[in-house]
Amino acid sequence: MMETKEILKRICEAPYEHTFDSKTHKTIEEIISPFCEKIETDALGNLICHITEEGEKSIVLSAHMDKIGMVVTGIDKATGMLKIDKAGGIDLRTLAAARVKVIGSKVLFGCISSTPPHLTSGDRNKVSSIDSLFVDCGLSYDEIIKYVSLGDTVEYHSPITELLGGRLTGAYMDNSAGCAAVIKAAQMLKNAGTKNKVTAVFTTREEIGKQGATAVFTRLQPDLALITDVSFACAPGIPKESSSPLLSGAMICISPILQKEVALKLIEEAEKNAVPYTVEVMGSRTATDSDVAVNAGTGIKTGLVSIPLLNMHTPVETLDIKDVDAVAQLLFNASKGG
Amino acid sequence: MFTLIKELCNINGTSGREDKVREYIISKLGENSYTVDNLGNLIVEVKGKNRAKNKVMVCAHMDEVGFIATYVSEDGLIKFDTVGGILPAVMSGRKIVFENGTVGVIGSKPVHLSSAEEKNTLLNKDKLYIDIGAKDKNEAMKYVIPGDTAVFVGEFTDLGEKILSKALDDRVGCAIMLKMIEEGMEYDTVFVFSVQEEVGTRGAGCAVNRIYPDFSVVLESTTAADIIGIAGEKRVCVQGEGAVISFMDNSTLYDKEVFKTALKIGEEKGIKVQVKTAVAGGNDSGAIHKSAYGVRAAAISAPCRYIHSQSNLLMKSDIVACFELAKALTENLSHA
Repeated sequence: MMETKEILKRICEAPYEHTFDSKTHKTIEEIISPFCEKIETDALGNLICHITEEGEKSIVLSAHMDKIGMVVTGIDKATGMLKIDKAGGIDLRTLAAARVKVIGSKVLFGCISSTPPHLTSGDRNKVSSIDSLFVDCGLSYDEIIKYVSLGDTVEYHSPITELLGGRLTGAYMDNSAGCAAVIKAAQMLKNAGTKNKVTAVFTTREEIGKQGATAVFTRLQPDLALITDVSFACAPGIPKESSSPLLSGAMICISPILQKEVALKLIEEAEKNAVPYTVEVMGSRTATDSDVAVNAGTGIKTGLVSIPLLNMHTPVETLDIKDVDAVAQLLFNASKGG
Repeated sequence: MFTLIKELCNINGTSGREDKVREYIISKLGENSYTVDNLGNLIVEVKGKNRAKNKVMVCAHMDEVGFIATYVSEDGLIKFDTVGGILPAVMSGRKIVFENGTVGVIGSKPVHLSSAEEKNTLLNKDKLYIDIGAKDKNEAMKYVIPGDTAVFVGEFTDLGEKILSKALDDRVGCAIMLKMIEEGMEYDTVFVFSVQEEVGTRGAGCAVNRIYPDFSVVLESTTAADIIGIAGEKRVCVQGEGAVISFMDNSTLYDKEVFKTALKIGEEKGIKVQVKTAVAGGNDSGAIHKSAYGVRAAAISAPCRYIHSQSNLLMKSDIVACFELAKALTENLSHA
């Protein structure tokens, strides 16, 4: 049985591209395939993994697998540096001099430029806009065009590192953590068996508008959709009511746009199975795939379970692996049936 | 030399905490005799084939920029100050590592919960904190106490023609000096691996007061701003154009004759040499030239992009040019 940490690490470090077969797709497919009857891909690159093909109730466990990053918009002839734009809500304050990898025909390592001190013109506290930040792979124009084309993806390069108490930090916990929780739940369902028809789904394009989830939930129309994503962990400057501490378990969302009965059922399962949890209340949209799953097609009963995360959308996203396991356990309990 | 650079970059040592860098360098000195002074400067007197007419001191600094813990809060987060000049732009979202190997991250409030103004304002050290994963102050203090220092995590990466790492400023200079020592010198030469350059060039002067050199050659990395959208003299220096020599920076007006000699040597020996095109930055020369009875100073620098961050980027051919020029200039000055 692969450990959650190992699953998480492999997904975090697998480059993502908006295609059908990026390294992230392949990695997830490889890890989950022993627990599945069948795996398919749809027109937007969503990965649909049938854990059981028949059952009383159809349930989808879903996590988005796409990652925030940047996209190459130009290649400078004079310097060989790459011009970039944002793909997803990257935190511009963390870009200058950050390590990155460019997913070209081969993966190139490099860094983002930073404005030299003598040119900061007095205002050293102003964030550079994306059009004044460039990717530098240390290659000349003639070299770099052998590997990189316009539209290629640029990602943070910040491998997973362990902090005290087994906390993990690095890029792309959002939402490799959710993917890992769904995979763990699939593994538990495979081992324990289920009366339900359960499908694990890994969606695309969440960070750029949730188009993947819209398409896949319209197609699948399950009786119940359980979405897993990351949410805010408590930290200085974050309101207590919008966050849960690390190590507090699954964050079960109550929002007027999601059916409350689903949240209450999740709470009941957590209580029954001694899964640690907190309740996360939101006034409207949740900024996750559940916002589109709930009214996909003719509408779907939808619940949202999140993993507390620090420093979201930076190269040092930080979490506690026990929270990922708590979410996996809850997804299992809520989908097993009988 | 690039193996030396890699190994030196992988050692952590901020200003005042250069011990491990110094130990490594000492392990590479062979039979050469050395002194470590009260500040921690490592002074190596290398016997040449011949006695020198003039005493030449070659210098590079061992310290790198970093962080120092100033306070541990009740919730186990660590407040810090910077050791050396680190711009707010390159701090947020970085991993750092303390002297005892404890890893931390420089965290901040997520962009999702920030106002438009906050999103466009960099967080300075007063707003940032280091998170080592401790659950409270008690646990944190078992690993980090005020006064402990940390450096950027920034792995050494070979990009082909260039290299990327933290601390290339100034482990590159240290590596060039080690290679000069290893190859042997034509004339007796004093090499100083200095401390505390990044906190106001506080180390090298004391070494000068011991050595009383006639000339000094500082080996450094200097800002290269040769990136998209920056033209002409604002680039300061250009990667691929070789060793950078300075006529003036914020701390030193360099000796004009030595400056001209360096240019001439470059021309004669076919070493690529470029002149720094801005009066910016500074290095140990600032302390050296005004110590003892005054020293005729020169600085040879490698053009470094994104200096003082986790991502110093240097071109291999420029480093080789610095080595060749440093060697030739030192020998020239020794018998001038």
